[in-house]
Amino acid sequence: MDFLDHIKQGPDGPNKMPESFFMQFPEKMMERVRWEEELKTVAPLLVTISRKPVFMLPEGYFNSFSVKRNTDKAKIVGMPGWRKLVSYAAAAAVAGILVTGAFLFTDNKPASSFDLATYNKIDVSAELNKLPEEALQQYLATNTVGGAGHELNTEIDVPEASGNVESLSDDELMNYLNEAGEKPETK
Amino acid sequence: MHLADQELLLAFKIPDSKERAYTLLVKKYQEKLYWHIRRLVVEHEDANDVMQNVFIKVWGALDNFREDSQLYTWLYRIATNESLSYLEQQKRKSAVDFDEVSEGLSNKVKADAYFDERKLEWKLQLAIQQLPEKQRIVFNMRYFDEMSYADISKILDTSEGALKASYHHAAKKIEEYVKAH
Repeated sequence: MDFLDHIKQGPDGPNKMPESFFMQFPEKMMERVRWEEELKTVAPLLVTISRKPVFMLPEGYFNSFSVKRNTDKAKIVGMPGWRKLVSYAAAAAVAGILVTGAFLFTDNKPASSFDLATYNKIDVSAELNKLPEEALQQYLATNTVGGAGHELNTEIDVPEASGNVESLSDDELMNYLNEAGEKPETK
Repeated sequence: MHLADQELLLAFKIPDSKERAYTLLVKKYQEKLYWHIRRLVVEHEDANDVMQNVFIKVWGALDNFREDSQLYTWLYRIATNESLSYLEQQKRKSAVDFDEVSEGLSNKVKADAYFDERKLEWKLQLAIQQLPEKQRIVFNMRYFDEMSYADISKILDTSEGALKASYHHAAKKIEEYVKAH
């Protein structure tokens, strides 16, 4: 019998009273008498009513009651080896179909030989500094698109377009269109 | 504190016997706590849910239990608080006032498979549901569990004088109800 069996059965076995029982008995009896006397003076009818539980209780509830703690995890059942292989093969097949499908349906062309990782390591400013001045000037002279000479001229005066066109006469408008090289629309 | 409680607490602190001590503690107190909870929430399913919450809390808090208080008053305190929290949640869900709560609990009593309106025991149960929450708890503890005012005072943090007044008031109201129905 171990320590906890000793607690379960009482100090001297299953049929023995706990040592404290007889010591506490008189006090418990007095408490019971006081309880009844009090109730008799306040609400005597209640002394006569049975205090046994009246509610329905599922059969064997207390015998089967257990606490569902978070630590009570579900038991993990291992799969046989061949079933694991089948699972892996199925997963690989699905992955293959998805990758192939993605490649075909997204119109992916093979990437150019451009290697982004290598490119990211190049310091462009440092590389330009290494070039001789003549080479840079020659490059700029022959590659002008978007380069030197195509800067946006911010100093050009934009004509004021907020005038009331309706206030101009037809002759004035015709003159303007003739000067601007536009052919006036004839109705 | 009962000697067996002291031994259970000691066993709970030893890792090898912790789970077994806990199981014995549950077995020892489950019935008393269940009926205490059931009288407050009325339905079995609700009582079972609250029981689970109570014993989960006990598992987590027993290491910190101060042995200068009695284990059973500590357990009753947890059970009472959990029951009240449960009822509060239900009240919030359905947004009902006291009269509706009282009516709801009475309906739950009437819905019990064993309910018999002619029997005094059932009239008593219906009468209890008419009481305000605090009076209901005090009455249940004193009347059914025969708990001393000193112990109820520890559980509810209320003076013994106030508890006595509450119990007397509740008992008179219940007797009037039973006589009238």
